[in-house]
Amino acid sequence: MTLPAENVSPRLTSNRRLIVVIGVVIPLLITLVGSFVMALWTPELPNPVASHWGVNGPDGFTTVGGVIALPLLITLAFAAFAAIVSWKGAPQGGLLWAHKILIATSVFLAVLLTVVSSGSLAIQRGLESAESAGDIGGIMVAAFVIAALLALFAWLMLPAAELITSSAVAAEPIEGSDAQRVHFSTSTRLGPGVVVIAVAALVALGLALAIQAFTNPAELLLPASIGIIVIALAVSTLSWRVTIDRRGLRVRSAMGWPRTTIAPDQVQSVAVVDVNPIGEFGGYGWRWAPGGRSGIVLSKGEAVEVTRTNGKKFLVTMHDAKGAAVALATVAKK
Amino acid sequence: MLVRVDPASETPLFEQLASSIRQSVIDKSVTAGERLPSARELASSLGINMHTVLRAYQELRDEGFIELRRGRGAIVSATAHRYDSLADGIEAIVAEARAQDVSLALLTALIREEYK
Repeated sequence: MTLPAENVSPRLTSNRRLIVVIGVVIPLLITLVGSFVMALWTPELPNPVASHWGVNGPDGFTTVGGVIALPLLITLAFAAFAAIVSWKGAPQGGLLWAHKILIATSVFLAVLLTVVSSGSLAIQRGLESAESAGDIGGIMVAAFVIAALLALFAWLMLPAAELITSSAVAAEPIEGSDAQRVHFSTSTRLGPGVVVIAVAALVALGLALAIQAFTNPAELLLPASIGIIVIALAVSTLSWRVTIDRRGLRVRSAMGWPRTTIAPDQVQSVAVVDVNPIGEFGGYGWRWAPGGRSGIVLSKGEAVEVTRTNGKKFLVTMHDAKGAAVALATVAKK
Repeated sequence: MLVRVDPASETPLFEQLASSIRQSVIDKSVTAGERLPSARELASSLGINMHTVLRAYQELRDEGFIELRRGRGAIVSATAHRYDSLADGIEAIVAEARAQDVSLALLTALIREEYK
């Protein structure tokens, strides 16, 4: 089978090499070496080995194979994910900072998991029973520091992140008498793909909380309150109502909060821009970006962008951003 | 949905409002099932009388563009886009008329003759 010829820029080709080497090959090599060393220790290890530590020493046990397999499986899955997501690169053939974070995280995870699992086995060598295994707090801290340093190193090996700059198309007010009045309203939603991912994450969070409620109700309060805040924030981001009239631009979550208003006399100029949520804002929701830019970023594509009189920019992604921009420009003219 | 009204114009406000919303449905900036702002909201937003908005909404309902439901406000009806093919046809006719320098008065006269 021959694949259709793909026209790939030389810059992207060299970046793809970096993606494969730093994001996949190095993390896998690290975990493979770790697994090999751990496998060599098997005769000296108790069976089962301790795999989870509570306040009073080991409280979870598993087989040596389990401890060896886990870093391999997680690293393999994450490295594949990081490579697939960054494969297309940024529009100019560079890497977005979101791609760089994924690749560096791949290194971080591989090192962290390998050091933690091999360290936890190292202290159990020669023990009769895993019950008497020592504390692993020191290993955890060391693993975290080493992993963070190597991830930083991986980050520095990657080229500088490509910034996406969208070209703004300025909106002109509608022609007409000074007496004319305009009203623009629409609702704008999070893209379906993002919703699926968010719902999956929220379901997982809900399940984790439910399990916690059954197994350890005493320590439920903190995770439950954090969980409820996260769920509330996610739900409030789903759908927004946008209204533009003589009172200015009003954006309100379907839940009623959060909300914001920009009065007509705060509007310097209005434009339609093309937004890349991951590249420019690092994600979805009410987002802030460098350069005094913030906004309700719900989907890739059209957005209305307001430059305020103080120079800051606020944007909302929506269908028919052109209509919104024209309406706001008309309102701001007066 | 972009609505504009001009109180200085000779066309009645409700007529301007209805044609603005009709235009929004035709150019698909509002789609079937979408909820329009309540009459009260739209009236205060545009600084006009609520009965003017209601009159425009009633006209649009009679044309099948929107449905008015007590408590749920105005919703763009599923049948709103049935004029789409007609609008496409008219677009083609007008383009042809422009190409042949046919005036609007003559074009309407031709259509009226055909409609009989």
